[in-house]
Amino acid sequence: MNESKVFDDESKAFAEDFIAQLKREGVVFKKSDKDPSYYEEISKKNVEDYNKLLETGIVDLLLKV
Amino acid sequence: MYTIFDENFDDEFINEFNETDLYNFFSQLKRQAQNFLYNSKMPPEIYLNATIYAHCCRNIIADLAKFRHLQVLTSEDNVKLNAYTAAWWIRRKPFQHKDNCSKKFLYVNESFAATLLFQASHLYDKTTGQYTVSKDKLAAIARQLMNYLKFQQVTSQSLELFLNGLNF
Repeated sequence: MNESKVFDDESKAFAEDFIAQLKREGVVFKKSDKDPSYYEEISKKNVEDYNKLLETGIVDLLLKV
Repeated sequence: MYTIFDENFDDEFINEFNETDLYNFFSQLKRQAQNFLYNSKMPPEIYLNATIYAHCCRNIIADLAKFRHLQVLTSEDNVKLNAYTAAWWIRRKPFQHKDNCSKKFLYVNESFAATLLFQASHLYDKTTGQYTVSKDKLAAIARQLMNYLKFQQVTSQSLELFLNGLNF
């Protein structure tokens, strides 16, 4: 599962480009009333939970049915 | 249903998001998609098409923005987030095949969408990493869900209802 971390930079790069593109199109984002680490933690936890789910072999089951 | 490409799309709605929230959400989704490909040992013929993925992301935020406007969506609301993401994933199909591969992998986008739904459901206990139902029941639910995702017209609302039903 550790190898999955190699995608981190690529994922961040995509998100940065995506947000930059929206800004170029004139989107003005709302200011957050929460610390940036709050969103980062949620995101990190979701990826960790998702990785655990994949370890259960759910994809094999889904591809078989 | 509006998208950002739609002239009638109300910009006020898209402004409901904050940059950090969106940045983390889309970074997370891409990581999940890539982990899905990598950890499920998908054949190299299957890849994540960046252009289609970007379109998919636009559709998701356009669809979710109205909930932000109505203040009924938080960053922790995995049921709504995953249901809407799964629905757009199936419509856009960001996983593409470079070449013909086994029939087994034909529904790779539907399988990824199903994993997102399982993640947000109570069928899977995140703390223990175990399923809360028997293997047979899990297989039966997976079969029904995949049949729906493959052959029916999937909507975001129906997937949200499905998840709420499972979690009730």
